Amino acid sequence: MKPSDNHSPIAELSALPHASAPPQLWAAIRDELDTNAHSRARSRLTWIGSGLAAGLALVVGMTLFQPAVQPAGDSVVTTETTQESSLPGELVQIRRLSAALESSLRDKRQGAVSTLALEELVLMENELGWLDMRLGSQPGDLELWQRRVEILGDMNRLYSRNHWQNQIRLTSL
Amino acid sequence: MDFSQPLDELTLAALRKRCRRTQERVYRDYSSAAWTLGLRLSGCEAQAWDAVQAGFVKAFERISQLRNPAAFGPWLRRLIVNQVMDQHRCSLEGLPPGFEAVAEDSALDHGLDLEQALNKLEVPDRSVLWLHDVEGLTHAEIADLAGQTVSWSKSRLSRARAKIRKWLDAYRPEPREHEVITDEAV
Repeated sequence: MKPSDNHSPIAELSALPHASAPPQLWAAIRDELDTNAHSRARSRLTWIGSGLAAGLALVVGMTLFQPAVQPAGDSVVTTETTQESSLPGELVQIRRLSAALESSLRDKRQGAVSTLALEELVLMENELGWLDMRLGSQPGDLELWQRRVEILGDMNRLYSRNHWQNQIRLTSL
Repeated sequence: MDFSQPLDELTLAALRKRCRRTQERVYRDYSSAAWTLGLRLSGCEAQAWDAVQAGFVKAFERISQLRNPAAFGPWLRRLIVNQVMDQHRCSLEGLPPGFEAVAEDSALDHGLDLEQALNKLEVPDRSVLWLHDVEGLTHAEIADLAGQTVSWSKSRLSRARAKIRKWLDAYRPEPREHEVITDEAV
């Protein structure tokens, strides 16, 4: 604090006592955070639901064109595939989508990335690691899988965009 | 804890993962400073509640935008000040220009103490005075927060100080006769 006016009594402003926040304020903040999180989750579910058909088409396409590629790095997915028959349909689909995106990402990871993109990718990789840790103990959590698919999609887009920009740079040299 | 206290990296990482327990701990750490700021700027508990609640919710939901944990306090302060300024702008919508100044100039015929005098200032004057003289912000920072110019901030500050002095002088009791004599003797 820097009281810049030394003329009393304005200089006494900073001596006014600090007030304590009302005890119910935290509960109100927590409730608003919860409400917003639920509404975001609902809108994500809607988005996932409408995008699932397109995602499945992608999975089918990739399976046809790359039959040999298996999502070996996706440990959560591979350990769970044998139990898929007993899982709800939505969960099975989203896990397949996750595996397909991870497989596509594996090829793209070999390319060069810019420093800016690298920073974003590191953050995404961190969140992905954290999600995989959570999925290890909660493999049936649909919301975690949805978040995983979103991150993998973002990473794929980032790598693709970066690759495209690199090509432009190289051809302009 | 005031707004200048930094967060550590671990706390910031936990906030990014939306850990509710960490959010509550951070809220407890900054709640007194935040509530005092909201209350002093808005001059009303109901508006302070709205501003502080919205400030914390935005801070926790947009935490991924914050790169430097040391900047959390100033960032939270900025969010709360913006909320108060927005409330003030909304409250003036539909009113004729100059309405606020007319209402504020109708000074009481009796004096005020410092806290009452502060509350009697209009919101922009009170905000500039508090942010400059108590929170230690520069005119450039205040102008940036309010979306105004540096000269706007300076003139608001000067006006706010003059009004406060006037109201407090009216409150100060006249010196009794023997005190005047004593002063003259000294």
